[in-house]
Amino acid sequence: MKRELNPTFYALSITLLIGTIIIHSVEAFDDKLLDQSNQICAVDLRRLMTSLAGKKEKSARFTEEKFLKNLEKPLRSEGTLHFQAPDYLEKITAKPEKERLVVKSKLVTIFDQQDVSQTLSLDQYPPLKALLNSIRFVLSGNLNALTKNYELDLKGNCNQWNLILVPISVPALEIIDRIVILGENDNVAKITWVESNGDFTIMTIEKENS
Amino acid sequence: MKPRTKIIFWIGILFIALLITIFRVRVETDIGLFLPRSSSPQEQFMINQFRQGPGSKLLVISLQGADSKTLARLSNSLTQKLKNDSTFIKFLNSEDSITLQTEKFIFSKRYLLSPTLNSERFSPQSLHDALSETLGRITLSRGFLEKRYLDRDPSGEFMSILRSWTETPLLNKKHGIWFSADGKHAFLVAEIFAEGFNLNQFENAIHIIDDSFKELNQNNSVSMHIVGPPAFAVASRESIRRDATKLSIIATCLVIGIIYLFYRSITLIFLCLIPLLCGVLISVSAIVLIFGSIHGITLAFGIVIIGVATDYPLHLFSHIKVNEHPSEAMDRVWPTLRLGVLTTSLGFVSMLFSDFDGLIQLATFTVCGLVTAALVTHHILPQITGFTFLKYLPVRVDALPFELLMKSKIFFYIFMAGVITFLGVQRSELWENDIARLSPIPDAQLALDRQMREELNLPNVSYWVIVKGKSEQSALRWTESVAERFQALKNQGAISEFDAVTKYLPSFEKQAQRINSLPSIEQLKENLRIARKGLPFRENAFEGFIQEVSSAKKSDLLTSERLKGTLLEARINKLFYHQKNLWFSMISFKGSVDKKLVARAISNFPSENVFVLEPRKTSNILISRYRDRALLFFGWGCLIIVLTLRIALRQWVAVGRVLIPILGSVLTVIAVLITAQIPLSLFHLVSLLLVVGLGIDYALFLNYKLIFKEERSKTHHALIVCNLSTVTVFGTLAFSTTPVLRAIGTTVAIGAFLCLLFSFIFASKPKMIDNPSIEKY
Repeated sequence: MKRELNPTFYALSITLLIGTIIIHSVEAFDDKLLDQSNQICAVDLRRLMTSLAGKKEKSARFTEEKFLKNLEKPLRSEGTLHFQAPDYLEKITAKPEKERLVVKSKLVTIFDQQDVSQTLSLDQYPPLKALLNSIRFVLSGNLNALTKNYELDLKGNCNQWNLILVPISVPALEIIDRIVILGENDNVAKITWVESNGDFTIMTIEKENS
Repeated sequence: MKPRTKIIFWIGILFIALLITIFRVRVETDIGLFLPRSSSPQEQFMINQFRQGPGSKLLVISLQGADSKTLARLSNSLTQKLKNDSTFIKFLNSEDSITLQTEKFIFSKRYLLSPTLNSERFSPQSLHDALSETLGRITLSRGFLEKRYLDRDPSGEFMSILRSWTETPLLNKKHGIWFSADGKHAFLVAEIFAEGFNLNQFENAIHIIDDSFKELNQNNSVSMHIVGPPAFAVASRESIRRDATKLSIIATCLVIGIIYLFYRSITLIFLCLIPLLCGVLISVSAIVLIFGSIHGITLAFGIVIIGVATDYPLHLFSHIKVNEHPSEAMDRVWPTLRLGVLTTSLGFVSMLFSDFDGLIQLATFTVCGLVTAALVTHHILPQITGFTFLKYLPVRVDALPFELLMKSKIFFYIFMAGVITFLGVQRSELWENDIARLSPIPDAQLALDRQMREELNLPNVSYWVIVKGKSEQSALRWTESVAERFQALKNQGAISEFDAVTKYLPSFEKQAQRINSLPSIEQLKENLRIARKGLPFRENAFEGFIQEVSSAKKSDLLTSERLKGTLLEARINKLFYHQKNLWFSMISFKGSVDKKLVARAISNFPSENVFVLEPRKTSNILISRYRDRALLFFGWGCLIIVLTLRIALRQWVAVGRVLIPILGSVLTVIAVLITAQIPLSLFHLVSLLLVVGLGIDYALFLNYKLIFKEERSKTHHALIVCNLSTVTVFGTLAFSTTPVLRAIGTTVAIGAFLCLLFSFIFASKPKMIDNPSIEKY
């Protein structure tokens, strides 16, 4: 019994075959590349945190841009950040208006232009707590606290890494979708937080001046 | 009835009383039950406020003795531990912030609640200003809360509600928690969950704080002080209890000594207590049956007043002769004893018609107690005493100069003339009108409480403005117009801060006014289009806002009923009460208040609807009224006593012999107290009731039936033992550090002693002819 093969069928199977080969070869190539880079400089959470923990005090200039879905352009501000291990964080905004935010253990104090302050307990504002703690834990290299409070995903290599933090706390998740921290070696270069309504903020940190 | 049957009968009754007492007794400590039934709405409100008002259940806790870091850590862990404890409504060491949950609710009702909402608010210009200001804040960190609401509430009504609700922050804070100005004391505030002014619940709450503190303060580096009305109430009860226990042990030992000295028998000492104990037992169970529970004050005052019953067995014992069965002696003593009990009890009967539950309970307690004690003395005591106990003859007291006393009436009259003149020229206030001064709490503690309240900026608990309305809405409307005036005073600086319920629950009119000030949807769209110019908002940025405004126009108005179960309920309950057909709204003040200007501001309103309430003043008025009522019934009681005695003794001269010594001693006691600059209080009055009861017995024994010479020396013996033990017991109390116990102790000791002394002076001459039926010994 002679069977005639359909030309369309031929064309399709060949395309599929070639496609598969190409995809696999690319993947293999990719893996090879990654393997190679890992051998040179693997990024590993534990090692990253240890190297971050090495710096007890950090100061840097920052620019912050808030992208709100209802606004045509972002809201910009700039100033300096100070961190002192284990949990002291200070954000001094110089433009467009002076403001100082101090985080110490469980409390946030915000001083306005006239130096009038307002203190809040982080426990009462879970989203704010999730955000500020993620920065503090990363800067202090506190792996334990990070794994306890966030789902972590680390990507990249030691020269350029990318840590995604998703808070475990449900009330925090209502507002904060994820926090992405971008770093180079043992420096934090950029902190982005995405809110559940789609708004997001990018804080770019200049290389340390000290 | 055979003696044996009698005893069994009595034991049965006492057993039932015991069962009732054990299983049914509930000692009430809520002061409200001891206040008049027929009081004005203001007074009833005051009582309610006193029982349930937030101030009466507030504890202020101070930690000190270590560096501020340690104090802050301890304060935080204590708060952490207790803030969710159901014993407390709140437990704070810093301001009570509004949580996310509350936020959502308030946000949804913002167009009903916002104080800044008016018809101008949504005009293009004002919207433009609000939008650019909000953007400015959002750019910075402090706008983090607002950012989320930008598209739905661009004019910031929600934030303006929060701002108007946030209490002025305390000036002194360290490490984010309350501290004193000098940084040496960390402060915490706890509000106890309790129904009424319930001392047991307060005590429990204080224990919980104490225990948690001890657990957290393992190395004892920090010390803690707790002040506030509940702490003071518990401490004063505790100090009275401690004092009373200590002193009663001393007094008991002394009395045992006296009784042993006079009767040479230990068993007698216990027999003496039987009538009193039975009296207390029957009284307690009777009151529990009638009223459902007994008030602590009734119990305490009642036991004091029926203390006279300890004398009954002593009269019996002193009159027993050699080889005589006690029941024979009882037969001789009984008519006099019976008249004494009857007179005293009838004196209290008038109180049963009082409109104070407290007085009715007290009268019931006294009458039941005295009658029971007398009946037990009559029926049971002789049987159980029997022949065996009296092995020795009682010590004789014949050596005392009774005859001489009887001839010294003239000195008594001179003395009394002096006392009456002294009382007549007295111009100083006879009564203590400030009951707070009877408190056993040291002044240092009270000063600490004041200081802590001031530093913590707590609402002033001694000064309120009350607004009364016939319906919820009318009360709210009145409150709104009063609050408007106060806002003007606040802007002038005459008031630092005030809080009114209408902040959280505006009247229908106000709510409707706010809703009506919202523009039509077309108008709003147009206004937003203009307002948006020059700002980075997208064209469709405010769709959510427009939708919210259109649904707000249809929203239900808030009532206290609809707010039940929401987080606003607690705030409203503190400032808004419903009683029968009346609604009361309380306006509270913080910091300084110019009372004159407040009085002037409210003078335009009918005084019946808007009035100032100063709880301390009002409660003093209430106590004075209680006292005046007691005095009035005391007066009626005296009249009944006089009539009873006139009927029993048949002659006015004899009535005089009984009553003049009592009157003399009461007047002298008052004169002594005035000389010692002790103003009279309710407690003195109750003590005087006991003095009268004692005096009646003393005088009757010297003037009624037992008037033969033989009997007289036994009567002298009995009276001296009675008096000595009474003076000893109450004399011991006079050394107490608690003002209340001191008042009772001094009054009774002096009064009882004088009663006996004066009764001896007025005793009728004993008949020389011996009663032939009585053998000589």
